[in-house]
Amino acid sequence: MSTQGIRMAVSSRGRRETGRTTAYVALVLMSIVVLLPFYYLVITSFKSFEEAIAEFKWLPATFRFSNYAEVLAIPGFDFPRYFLNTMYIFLMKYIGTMVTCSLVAYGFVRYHFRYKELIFAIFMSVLMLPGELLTIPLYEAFINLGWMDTYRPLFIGTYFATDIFTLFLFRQFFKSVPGSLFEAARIDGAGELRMYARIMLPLSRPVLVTVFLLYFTGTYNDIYGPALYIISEEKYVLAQCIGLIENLYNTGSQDFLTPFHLVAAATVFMILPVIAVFFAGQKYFIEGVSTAGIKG
Amino acid sequence: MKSIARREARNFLAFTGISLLGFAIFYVYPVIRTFYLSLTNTRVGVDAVDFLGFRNYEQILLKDPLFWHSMRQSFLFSFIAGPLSLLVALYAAMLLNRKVRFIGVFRTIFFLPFVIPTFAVASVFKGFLHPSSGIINRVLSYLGIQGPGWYMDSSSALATLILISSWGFGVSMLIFLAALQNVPASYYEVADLDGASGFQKFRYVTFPFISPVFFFNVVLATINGLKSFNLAFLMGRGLGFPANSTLLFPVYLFVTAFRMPYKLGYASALAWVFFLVIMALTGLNFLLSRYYVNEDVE
Repeated sequence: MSTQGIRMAVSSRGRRETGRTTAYVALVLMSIVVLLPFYYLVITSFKSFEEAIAEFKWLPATFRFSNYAEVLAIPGFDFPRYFLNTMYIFLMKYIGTMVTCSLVAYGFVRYHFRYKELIFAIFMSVLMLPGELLTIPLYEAFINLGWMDTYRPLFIGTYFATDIFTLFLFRQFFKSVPGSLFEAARIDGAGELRMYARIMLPLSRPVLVTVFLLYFTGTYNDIYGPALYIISEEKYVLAQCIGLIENLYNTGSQDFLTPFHLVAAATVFMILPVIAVFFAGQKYFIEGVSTAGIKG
Repeated sequence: MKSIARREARNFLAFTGISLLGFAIFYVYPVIRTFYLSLTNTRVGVDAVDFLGFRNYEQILLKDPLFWHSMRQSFLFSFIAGPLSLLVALYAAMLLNRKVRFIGVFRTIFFLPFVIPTFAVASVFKGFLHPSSGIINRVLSYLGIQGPGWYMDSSSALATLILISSWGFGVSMLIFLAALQNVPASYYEVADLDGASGFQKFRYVTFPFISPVFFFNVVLATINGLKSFNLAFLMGRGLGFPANSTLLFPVYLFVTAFRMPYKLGYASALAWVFFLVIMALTGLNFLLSRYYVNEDVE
């Protein structure tokens, strides 16, 4: 190596050190920007109403832990109920999808049928459809069935294996199970359903966890469905109930009357379960999204 | 032999029959029915239905300023928000790829906003960006800057939506981080020996490697941005507040179909137009993708 080359390699190492310092500064600054809304949320949840609507101060005069109790005591605002409503919808959707998609995917992988690849390709093509193209006729149908203001419209589809993405996940997963397992089971005299229950289901735990996380956050996040079908306040889901607090003091037009301190306390209550689920399943979550993303 | 094939087919149908039925009920029927409705003036609670032919479509394209307005807002939103949040994501991923310490901590911090449900994001940012009691205008006032009205002002509300949605860059960051970690370290060592600057390393080593992943995700995010509904629905109080500035197309469609006077027929025509727009963009992307995907490094 020429002296010039050595000098350049050395100077590039020095440059890398300063580069790393710059990286730390940038990372810390970005973290502050990302975390600032969380700071606002938590600090506001401890403020008084007057402090919450006045010019922003970084700390409250006194930390009012009582805001959290106050949220739960607002008349007509039944937080545990909205939580249970949301969880009910989540469970109904999750069970429906798990049972039907795993059975259907098993059928697609296990048995020969001349047109099965074509059928699956047609299934996959609907992933491109915007939901708007499907909602209106279903809305009509659910009105005619008298299902308005019930939870059925929100989960009935999952009992027909309509979640094509989960179906795809199961199928990919089942494909990787070696056929010899089934030969062995068949020799042992296992029937079709028994092979599904004893071999496939226990093996598909990663899919069960991934879909659990997707459905939990997905149901939490769904605003479209509840806004369409849920009317009575006692049937509200979490996504809807925040509006009840925002408008608690609303006399018509004055925006500054939003009780931001109570909204913040309620929001903390609402995001705790998702954050807990996220940290519990972080490994699956991150692996899931990054591989799904790369495969495109 | 024939009986085996028949038994296989019977088992296949026994297991998959429910999905064929579901597909017919929840996908095939709605798509066809939506098209039929789009040719009528169907409304909820009105029994008399007229067949209009393509007059709804004519109305949309020629005489509906809100259609063009909401399409414009949606395109502005998705064509800025998509690339912007992915650039932030790429930058964060490149910082994390420098073998810094506490990478797990930073990764978790950056990913956290993605986990927060949109309705909570909306409620936090309504306070966070509130013109008089929010944090950001307070910080700006330290610098002697009079902060904008953010989501309260029709001139800044759409930009506010774009900024808020970029807050969730963490998920794309993970994708990019995984892609960056696939770049062989030896390439950087060679570049170092050649005395390449940081920018040169990015231009000639990093970028060619990750550009397929990057552009693929930009296009995906942009097309998905057109379908964006939740944030605009919540920040705009369900009707594009203030002054229709946050009336993204899906919000306009929702209001047309599911709020008084429940114009299901007209909204169905809107849905079909929307579908065609998305299909056109997807097709265009398919044609263009061979130009931006660098085959050499795949």
